[in-house]
Amino acid sequence: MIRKIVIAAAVTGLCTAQPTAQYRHTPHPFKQLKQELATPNAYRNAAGAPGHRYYQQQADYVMRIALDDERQRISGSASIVYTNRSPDPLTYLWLQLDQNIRRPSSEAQLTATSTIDELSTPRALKRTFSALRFEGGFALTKVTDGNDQPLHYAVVGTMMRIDLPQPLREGAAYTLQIDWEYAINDRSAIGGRSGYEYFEEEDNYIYTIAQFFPRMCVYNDVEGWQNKAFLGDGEFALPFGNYKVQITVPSDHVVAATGELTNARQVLTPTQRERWETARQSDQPVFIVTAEEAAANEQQKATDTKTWEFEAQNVRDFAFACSRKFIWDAQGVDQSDNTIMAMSFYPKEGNPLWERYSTRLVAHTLKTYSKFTFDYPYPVAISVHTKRIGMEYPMICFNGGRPNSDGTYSERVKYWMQTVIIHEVGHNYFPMIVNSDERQWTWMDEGLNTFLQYLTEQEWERGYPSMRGPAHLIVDYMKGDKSTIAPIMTNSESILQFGNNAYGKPATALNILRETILGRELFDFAFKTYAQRWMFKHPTPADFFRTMEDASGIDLDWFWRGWFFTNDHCDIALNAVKWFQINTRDPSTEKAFQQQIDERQPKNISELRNRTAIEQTANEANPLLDDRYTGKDPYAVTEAEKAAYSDLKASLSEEELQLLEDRHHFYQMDFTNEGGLVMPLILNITFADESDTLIRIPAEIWRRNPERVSKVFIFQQPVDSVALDPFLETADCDMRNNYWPRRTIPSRFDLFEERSRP
Amino acid sequence: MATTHRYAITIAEMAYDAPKNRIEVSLKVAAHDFEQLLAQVLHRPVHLEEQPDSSKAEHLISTYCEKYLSTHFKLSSGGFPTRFHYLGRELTPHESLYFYFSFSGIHNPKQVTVFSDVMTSLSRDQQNRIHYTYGGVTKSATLSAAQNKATLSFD
Repeated sequence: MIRKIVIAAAVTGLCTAQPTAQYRHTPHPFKQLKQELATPNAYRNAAGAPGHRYYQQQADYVMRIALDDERQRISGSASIVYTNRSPDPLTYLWLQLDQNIRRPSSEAQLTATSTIDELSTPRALKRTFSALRFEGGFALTKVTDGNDQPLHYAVVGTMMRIDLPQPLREGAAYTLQIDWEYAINDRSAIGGRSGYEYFEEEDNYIYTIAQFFPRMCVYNDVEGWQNKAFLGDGEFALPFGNYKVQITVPSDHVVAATGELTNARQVLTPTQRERWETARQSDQPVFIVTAEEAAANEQQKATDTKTWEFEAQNVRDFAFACSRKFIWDAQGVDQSDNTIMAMSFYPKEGNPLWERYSTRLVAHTLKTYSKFTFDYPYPVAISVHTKRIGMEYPMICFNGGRPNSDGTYSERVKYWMQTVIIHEVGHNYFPMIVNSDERQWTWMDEGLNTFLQYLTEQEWERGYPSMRGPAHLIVDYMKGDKSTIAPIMTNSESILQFGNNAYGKPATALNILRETILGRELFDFAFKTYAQRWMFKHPTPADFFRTMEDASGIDLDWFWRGWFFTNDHCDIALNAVKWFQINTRDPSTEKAFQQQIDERQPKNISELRNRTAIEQTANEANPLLDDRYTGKDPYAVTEAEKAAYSDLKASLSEEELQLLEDRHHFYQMDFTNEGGLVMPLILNITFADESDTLIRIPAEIWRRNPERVSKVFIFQQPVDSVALDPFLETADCDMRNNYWPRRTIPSRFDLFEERSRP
Repeated sequence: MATTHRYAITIAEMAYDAPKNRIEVSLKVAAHDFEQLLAQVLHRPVHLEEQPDSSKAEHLISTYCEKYLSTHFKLSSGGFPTRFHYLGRELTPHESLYFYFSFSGIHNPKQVTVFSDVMTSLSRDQQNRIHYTYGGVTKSATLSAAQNKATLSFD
């Protein structure tokens, strides 16, 4: 119902001071993130870029590896050159021995919790015993300096400290020589990011080998040595360097690895080398090893060996896969400065999915991610198929998604396989090149990668059923029980609901930044700035937060605080909409208006009936009973009123007179923040003439009072309805309080019941 | 890494329908997890979307779902039991499996006790979140293996 705004003769500016109330949400949502982030310094500056004293270490590896296909063991010999570019003299070096997690006495195994219920299935029992019986872990047979002089070392769980005879000073390099061996784990039996898959009927293996050598830890200005134990969830922090690796395998194995194959003449046939060249020029996959050739190859077992040699520049890790079962296809992906070989290695069990999609997905992922970050700087990008996994390494990843044995597959399996490949290939960018500390912050690579994965999926197939990205998909998680929701800024090992916390929520946050807070153009510019600033370097969360603000020009502290540091959710309610027009003070206009209003009011039943039932009252029969009050028309304009109006007009200025003439419609809308997260107010207003308009109000509207705000909107015509967040942009967890007039929103049950009617 | 689905949460949205005097429920579970349960019972891997609607396998699965839900999700009102009616299930491409069922004969919709130990046999960390809407107001609770019952009251 419309109400009138009475403007006083002397129009005074309205200014009510807001009371400084104690808000429910502390600290204040708009408090700047000064105390939560490390102070900018010479290593990482206030703009979020590497500072003028930024340094990082380098670790170069020359390795000889032998794979024992009979006993499923790896033995290796490495020469590691570690360069200290920090200003700090180092008296010891730390390395990671990740295979040690497989020892039954490892911290990861000791601290795993279990109940009898959980173990009461054959599968769980088998897995438990397999893990207990497996003799995993590195056996170190040599730890010396470059001159074969033994070095003192201490193994601390999954870490190893090597004590240096002299401190290693700034700019100096030190050579370590380490020999080791270990047993490869059966991934079906005890899991693992690497290991083997055994095909029992054929007695054949697919080896997907990673974390297979002692790897240098990161030493930097933020953590000192990142030597936090490998417990299974927090992944890896690794320095960049150059690798030269020789891998000796049975001569009938096909090997896929990080880097460029430097001895193709020794290990590939002339036909294969020719096909390689054809593939390089082709924008569709070309077989280097066909399905028929692989089928023939997997029938026998070679007893002699071949050594494959690979070189990789500026990578943080090295992984490889080998099998006599591999089909191998490839295509070239052209960029302005180089051509990348996108390749896939898969057993026949992966078909028809793998030959149709894998290499094409690799190519598509490279093109899309490069658009948003930087050109892919490496020579190859590989997708390897083995069962039940998605795991990433520089230039190579291991991916699951297998059809049924008869070649059929469900839609879910297909989309799962495609999502995994996009995601794992995408990891080349985050964290292989933008090399964040995964042990500390899972979200910095998983969240950013999942976000780009979403954009890539949408460009792959229209209507791709992405599970993460759009704001409304995170609602179920965010409105859950708060005791099971940790903020995104939580250490990797302590996260609850890992997938939602470290993958889904940060990916959604970035999508909201892109679609709503910054808009696509500003976001894409800022995100690319971040990627290019920290390419081949080690960023921290503060560097990301600062760069996005610095490059976009939008203060995002409230956004980072709410989305990354709390477990608040978004639920903004449109509580009231009140309609006003200016009172003209002209009695003829206002009295006519009042008459309209009065006529719409309900009348009591007696009055209505009496209008016809009482034909004539005593007063109507006898005019002598009339006086000045009888029969008075309440809506007639009196002379006195007209005079008062003229006097008023005479007392007003030109401007004030104009105000009285104004016929605009004023709407005061009251909003409350029910969920805790302050978010922009996005309003779709529909008018009486069926036109509509979209109004976007930045979140700063909440900066004085984060719990309730009101705003008056002025329109030319009356409003029919208002919808808050009409395009599902803010992850609002309760849409029932978003509409005026209130709408009945059918439940899923209602919709399903409708559909199920015969 | 991509595979992280230790997704041990189900969400039940319940609403009271006054004209029909029943409480309508949609229960969201992780499709993959429920398939594990089915596989244990049927002793073979199960892919929910691969059962043609009229086949024997589909009938078996449908019957099992109904039995499982009626056993593991119970609702009483004002101290009185209610009648369980299974409506069906729906699989989304987002890996979510929705079950639809209702409870009739609601003695007092303002006081409802829910028992749920859905999926707790798979994982001790399983959490079952319930939301009950009555008269436009929603109340919620989280159930688990340790705490598998909750009463939601309105004044």
